[in-house]
Amino acid sequence: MQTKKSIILKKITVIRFLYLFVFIAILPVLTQAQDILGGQVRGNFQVDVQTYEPNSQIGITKEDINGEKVGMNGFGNFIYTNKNFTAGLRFESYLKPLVGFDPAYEGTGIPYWFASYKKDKFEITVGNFYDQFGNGLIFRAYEEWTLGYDNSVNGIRVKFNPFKGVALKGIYGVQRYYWVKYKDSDRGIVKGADAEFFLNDIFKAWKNNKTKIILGGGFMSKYQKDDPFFKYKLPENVTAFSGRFNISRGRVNFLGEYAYKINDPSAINNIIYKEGQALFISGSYSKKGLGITLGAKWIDNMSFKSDRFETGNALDLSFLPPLTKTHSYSLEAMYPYGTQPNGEMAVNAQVVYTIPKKSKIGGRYGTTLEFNFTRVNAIDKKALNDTTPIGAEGTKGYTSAFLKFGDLKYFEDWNIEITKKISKKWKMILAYTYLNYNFDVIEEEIESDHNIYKVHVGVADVTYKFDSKNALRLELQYMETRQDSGNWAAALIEYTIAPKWFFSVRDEFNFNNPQSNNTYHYYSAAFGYTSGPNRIQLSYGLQREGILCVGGICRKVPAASGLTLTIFSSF
Amino acid sequence: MNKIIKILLFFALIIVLLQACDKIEEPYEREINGGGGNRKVLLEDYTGHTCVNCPGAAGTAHELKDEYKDQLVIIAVHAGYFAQPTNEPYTADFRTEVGEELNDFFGIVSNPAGMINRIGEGQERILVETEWQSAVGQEVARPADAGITISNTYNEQTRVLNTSLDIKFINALPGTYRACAYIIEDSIVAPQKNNDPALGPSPDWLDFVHDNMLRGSLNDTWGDLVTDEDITAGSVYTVQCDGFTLNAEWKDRHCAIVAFVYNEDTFEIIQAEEEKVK
Repeated sequence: MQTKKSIILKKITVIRFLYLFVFIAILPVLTQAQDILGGQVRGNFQVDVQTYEPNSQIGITKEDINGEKVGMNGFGNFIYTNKNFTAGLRFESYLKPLVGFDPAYEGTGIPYWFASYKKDKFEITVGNFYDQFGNGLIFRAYEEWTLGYDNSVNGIRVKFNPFKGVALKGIYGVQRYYWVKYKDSDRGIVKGADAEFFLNDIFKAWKNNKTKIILGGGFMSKYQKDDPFFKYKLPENVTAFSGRFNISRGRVNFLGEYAYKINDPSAINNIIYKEGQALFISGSYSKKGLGITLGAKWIDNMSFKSDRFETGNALDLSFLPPLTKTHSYSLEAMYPYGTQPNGEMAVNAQVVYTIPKKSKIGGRYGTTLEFNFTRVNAIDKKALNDTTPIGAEGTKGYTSAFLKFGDLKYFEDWNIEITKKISKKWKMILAYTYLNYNFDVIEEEIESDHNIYKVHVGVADVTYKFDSKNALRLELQYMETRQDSGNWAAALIEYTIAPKWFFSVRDEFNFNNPQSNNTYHYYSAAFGYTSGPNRIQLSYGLQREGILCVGGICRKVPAASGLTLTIFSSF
Repeated sequence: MNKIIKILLFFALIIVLLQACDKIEEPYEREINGGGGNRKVLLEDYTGHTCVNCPGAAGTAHELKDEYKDQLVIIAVHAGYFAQPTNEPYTADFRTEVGEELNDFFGIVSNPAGMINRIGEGQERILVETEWQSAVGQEVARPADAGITISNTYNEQTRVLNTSLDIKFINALPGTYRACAYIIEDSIVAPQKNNDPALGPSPDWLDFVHDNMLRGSLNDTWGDLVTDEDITAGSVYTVQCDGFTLNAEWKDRHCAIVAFVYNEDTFEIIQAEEEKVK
């Protein structure tokens, strides 16, 4: 017998789908750029709908679903431009948020709106805005839909270009925190300024110099009132500074940024009063057929949020750029690295080389080799004295040696990828990846080497083109590890009718699992339709638990079983 | 060159005007002048045995208890992802129906998370461990609006417990109030993940002592209505919870009843109390 609650839920589900179909029906009307009052309106939409059903094989019970059989995340961006004036808003709806997204997003409304005016040397924006200073070490406000991440600033931004080659900007506001409106200093008020100097534009004598130099610097400050009930004294004003350079000459580019932050006791750093520092350097060389990039990053106590007690993926001021490769094949991407703001030392090398066409090894169409290496370790932290443990609450925390590797390995990634077009019809990608993934550090915040997963992944991706439109792609992956959930194999077959249709089936298969005698299959099937700026994708099947990372920020995606529908459109 | 100097000076001026740094010198600790109130405060610690930061939060709860003694009542709610039974040695299931319902209702996704008297709206109620001390300090400094007396009648042979809650309202209050009687158990030794070697064995703390563990409710998750009348100063009501049988695996001498009265609309708890079962 159905309960009253389940009948109501079913009705709600039906109503949600009706809304969706109405939306799909009016999509073509909505998605034509409109001229309004002499200006242009453009924008984009996305709706992600997922249904959830129990699946005993992968351990999803009725209780896990808890009556919430459908989730929906959706947004619509509208930007109006009329000469020097721009205004826009984004509508968002999470009813309820898809599994894995923060439930604090539940709701519907307009969290983002702005108006901006640009005249001569000035540009003024009021409302919400995204921006960054340099590489983002002391400030980056951005939005990442797939992660459910948005730290836009709501306030005022002024950009000023007094002379050619000089760009100044200042910001003042508060950051977005889900749907919670700012009140009573519940998060910090942020203000900052940044200057960038293009020396070749400023000095006439350098105008035609082959060496191009850009210098920049700025500060970011947050004010959050003290809490007299908190057992430690808290700084109300915390400021971070940064300086940066970018030098390029011909094929060589070299850039770097250093940031310094004064005492900022927070929930992330366990209320320590140490200053924070970060250094990011990167050099690259490129010519036809060859690209080399070397990078290094040293982070020491550099979490910088506009609320000192925020621990989640929200209210970040600093962005600590990841050096690790973002893998595109699913098993290679199973163990992604998440930036450790309390301290990490990372180095990265990447070489892309194309063996020329019609050479002996390169073959008729050439062969591209890509090699990538990343290593991330702890930084070298020393206790303040014999009695205070490293990072003890209410102390200076520890001392650290500048740019020095600590002993503990956090992450290592060796990756080689060969892309070869064999003939007009055949194309092949082969890849091998070897990872060391310190589970304790990355997922548990435990400074230990007890659980370092050693993972080998091999990938073969073969495409056969029947003609200029029809292609069949076979993707085979194999992963071996003795830790965590053991070995995996994956196969995907995808048929594409360019440029509109694709159909695919996939299976990810887990075996030799040290935690279970069972083997697990995660089947799914998908198809997608693209028509100009509109895209609809539908998939059905099982999704394994995983971690999704973008830009070093990660979210856990729980296992799920059901239907996923994505509609995207821009105009 | 002249204009560059001007720009730099202008920029330096902005920096001087806008930025400010508060450098804190040792000692970082300070005296807190709390107290003065007689409100008894409920701290709900949402936790789980695979949550690595939770021993630290349990430690903070203990420190607060040492500081505020009877004015602070603690419940450790084992619920959600980190409380699920999993691989050895984390096979125990300390979840309860009440705990899971609270966890879902208040939208708690990360642990440790706490609520102090369930103050605030929506996600504002949920506080990270570093926020607990200040929130408790502010609440204990307030005068109480009600007093609760818990009377337990417990039969050791049948393990049946009858509990009555006598609730006396000190002030006239708008709104409707409900009273809950939860049962908690102390001193349960079971494995707990831990990432702080300064507190105990890490990563697996096999003989961790779990205190204040929520075991269930005598009158469901949301309790009983205290009265449907307007609440006047000095009015007294009794909420009776009879016939609750303690699970055979619980040590009755380690069990206590935690009672609290809360506003039905805001969920704000106005008074809490704790009394041993025997």
